[in-house]
Amino acid sequence: MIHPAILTEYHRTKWQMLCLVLLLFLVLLGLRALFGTGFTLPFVFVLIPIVCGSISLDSFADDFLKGHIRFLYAMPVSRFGVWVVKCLFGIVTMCLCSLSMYIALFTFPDEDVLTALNILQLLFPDVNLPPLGVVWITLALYGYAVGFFSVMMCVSLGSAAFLQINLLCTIPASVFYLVYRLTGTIPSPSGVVLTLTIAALSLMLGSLVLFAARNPYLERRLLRWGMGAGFIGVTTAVLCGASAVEVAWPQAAPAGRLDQVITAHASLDGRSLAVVTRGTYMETHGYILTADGTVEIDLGPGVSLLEDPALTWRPTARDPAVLYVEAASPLREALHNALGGPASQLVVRSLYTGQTTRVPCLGHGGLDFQYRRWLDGGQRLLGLRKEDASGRGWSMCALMQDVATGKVTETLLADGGAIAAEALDDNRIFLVRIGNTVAIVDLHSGTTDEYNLPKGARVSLSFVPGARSRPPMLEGDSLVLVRRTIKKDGVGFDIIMYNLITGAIEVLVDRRDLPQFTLEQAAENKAPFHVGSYLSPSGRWLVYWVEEPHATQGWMATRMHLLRLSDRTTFDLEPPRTRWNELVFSREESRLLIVQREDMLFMAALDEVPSRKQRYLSTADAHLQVYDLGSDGPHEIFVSVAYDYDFAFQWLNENKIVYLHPLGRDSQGHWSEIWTIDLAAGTQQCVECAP
Amino acid sequence: MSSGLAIAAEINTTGGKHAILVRGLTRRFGKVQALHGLDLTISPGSITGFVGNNGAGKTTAMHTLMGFLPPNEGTVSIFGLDPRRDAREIRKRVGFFPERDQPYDWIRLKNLFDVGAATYADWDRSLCEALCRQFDLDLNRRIKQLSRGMVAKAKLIFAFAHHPECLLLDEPTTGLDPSSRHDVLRMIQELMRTRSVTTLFSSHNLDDVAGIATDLIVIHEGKAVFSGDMHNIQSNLALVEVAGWTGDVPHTLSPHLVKSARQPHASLWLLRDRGSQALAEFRQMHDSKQVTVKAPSLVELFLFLTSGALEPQAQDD
Repeated sequence: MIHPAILTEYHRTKWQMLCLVLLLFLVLLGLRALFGTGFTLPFVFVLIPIVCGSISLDSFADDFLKGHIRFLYAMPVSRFGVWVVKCLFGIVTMCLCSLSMYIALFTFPDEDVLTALNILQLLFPDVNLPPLGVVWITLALYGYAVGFFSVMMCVSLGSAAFLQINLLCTIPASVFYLVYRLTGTIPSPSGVVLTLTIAALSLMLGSLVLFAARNPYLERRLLRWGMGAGFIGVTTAVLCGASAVEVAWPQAAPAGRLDQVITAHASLDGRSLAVVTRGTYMETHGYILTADGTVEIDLGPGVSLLEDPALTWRPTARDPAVLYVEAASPLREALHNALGGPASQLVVRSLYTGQTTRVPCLGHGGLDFQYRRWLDGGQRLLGLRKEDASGRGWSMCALMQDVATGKVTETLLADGGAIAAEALDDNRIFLVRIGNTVAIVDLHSGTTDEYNLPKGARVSLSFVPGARSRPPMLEGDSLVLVRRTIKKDGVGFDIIMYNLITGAIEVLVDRRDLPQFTLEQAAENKAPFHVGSYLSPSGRWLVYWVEEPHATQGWMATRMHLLRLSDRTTFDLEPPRTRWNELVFSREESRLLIVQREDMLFMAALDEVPSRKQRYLSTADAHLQVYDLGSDGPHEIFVSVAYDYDFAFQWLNENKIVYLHPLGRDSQGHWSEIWTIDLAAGTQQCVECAP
Repeated sequence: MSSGLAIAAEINTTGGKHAILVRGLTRRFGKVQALHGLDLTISPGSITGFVGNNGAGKTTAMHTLMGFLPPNEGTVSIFGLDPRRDAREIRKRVGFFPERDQPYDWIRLKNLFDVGAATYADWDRSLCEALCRQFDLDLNRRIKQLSRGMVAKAKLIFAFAHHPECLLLDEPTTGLDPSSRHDVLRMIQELMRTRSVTTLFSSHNLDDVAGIATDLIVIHEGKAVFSGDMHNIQSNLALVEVAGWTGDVPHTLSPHLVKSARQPHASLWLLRDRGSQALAEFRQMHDSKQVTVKAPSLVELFLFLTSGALEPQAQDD
């Protein structure tokens, strides 16, 4: 004979399941169409436990809360059988729902999928598509168990839903917060998933015990509440215990198998040392490498560098030190901010003695603040803070922090009306104001000099990754400016050198042959073209780039050019690029390194890439080009195509490049190694290798 | 002798002829005592009307018989089986019509009967379909689309289609309109006519019981205050009213007495044997104007047993 619950569950779920699967599929497709996969994918993680909890709540709500189970019990049935049948049907339903969501999200991948995965990696660093299914099922299991338990314990739908919400949100969040407050650490995502699995099993066991003990003809409130409270207590204890175990024995990846690479590098002038950090969104690890690429100091976990590489080394010959931020991986930083935890710490570590000095990092707490320069021979740090001036541009402040005491001195640079600011190397701040004017503020004397810029000229203060942040200012207070031109013979731009003191203008580059733009378009400002420039740290080279249509492919390409300022000679840097990400001159500026990372959009346009489909969802390419900047112009001396987006490169010395080499992923996590490229010998060597 | 031993002894002496045997059944819900030493004896093949006021304990007794509720005290036996130990076996052999519980709202009748067919080995599909045709039940309709009377008919078919040896019908006509009530009673009569099934039929509607029952049990405040067959009730039971009598029941009538009650100006006695010699002698000894003897109607019988009066009194519950 067939258990009656099998037939009733079959009749209940056959259409309900189909409708649910279809509904979820359509909802996710709709969300993707409206908001893109980047938004939809994380949203699924919220949706899954709620949907699964509601399914289980609904499946037993009919039976218990409406009393239908009493009709079932009048038949010769096994109670345990009812529970098992319902569980099995629920699990099948959950799997089908998860599958439909998976198909809705990944059957027709778009260029947004990589963004979505990156967002997800804030929560689950080891998320890739196959493990994603496991994570979904874990969440689904927990949600389902919560719904089951709630309906077993409560006699009304309202109270069951209330309990469900608390078990889904309040208790895990409270445990998480408690662990954070007590230990100051955050459990790893894989630990959280494991903990939720154990908690789910505990709740399922609780639901079984409550189901077996609950006679629908005889309400025994004390017994029900007692058992329910007991199992909630057990579940909370399990959550706490598993979290404590996770914190005590973290499953953080050891060196050699860190996940997502975060690039931050710096070289110490004169000593040819480089600091390299790599890590996940949860954890980072720092190393100091010598010029030949060997690891001199292992800085350990929790190391990330400030954005500007010029800040990494303290400029003092007597006691050179490295500066880094402790425990400031992106997710930790975000959680610290959200939880109101202590600020991150700036650490100054002496290279000779290893002694460390810690001061609070001012960039904490959502302030728009960036450290920019060392001051007073390494005794103070200068940073810039900007605040919205309510429609009057930005207000700018300079903050100077004493490294020994942490004391901060604040100087107001502009009370509104500013567009951008940048530090110069001589205790002065360069300020771009609304109205095409610039100002230079001397922090020592407190004086401010204002200058008008030529009409149509624009100062480029865009940050170049891997390069020192500085305004395009040469010695003698000459600025390098980009100026758009609309003349009878064409639309274009020129790059000028403008002397702030005398007002003299020298045209360095004059381009008015951008055929895709007409005078009419330019007059109506309908055809803005992208043009930018970057002045090398010594002021010997100017790199500028402009976006033009590709000659044969049709897509827009960025053509880069190199201008040698000593003789005003321009060289083209072939080939054209869709975009570039890093532009780093070597210390002597005899070499130039350009890293171009291709994104999904570009990949989709390049049909000739044979493995595009295989790598579509997980990776992209990083193209490294190295130019030798000899007297006869730049020559490409090294090219490498790394089939991974996460490659990161930096100069060790004039002949050596260090880079992080992601190896791929396996069941234990993501692997990466530190490698060096010897340009003279043409060899590559692994410095910090995976076991 | 304890109740359990008493049942065992009764089964032995009667050769296991009782379909249902309940002795000293007590069931409490917290401070509320629903059953207070209930005794029931139901013979195989009988249709027993189980009547009582609301809250008298009828449903609790039935739930205990089905094994849904364990008794606090006393013993229960159906076909010699103990509901606490042999609940599944009892539910195979018993068809139960619950008063309030009903199948899932969303289930179609044909699917409901499929569930029955999959559950019971002796499920009779042809009987099921024939009854549905006879009582105009559309098998494709869902429970939530049926009227209350139609749901009652469906539940009745579900309880009967596996050819149970015993039927427990818990107030099957309660809350039905006259037409549906008539249909359901006709259905029960049809089923009883075609097949002899021991039936315990609870109701507080005496007309329903009078129409179909062969035996009657009156339950009041958790106790069975009367039991007997309908023929005996109609032919032998006597309700004696003696005006001006303030004393006890004469010892000559005591062996026949079911219940006595004292009114302000008279005494009322319910006697088992209307034609007994003792009653005839008592009437001769007293003024005929003072002694009235009559066959009680079911309503009078019920009212007298439950309230000691012949007119309805205000109900506590």
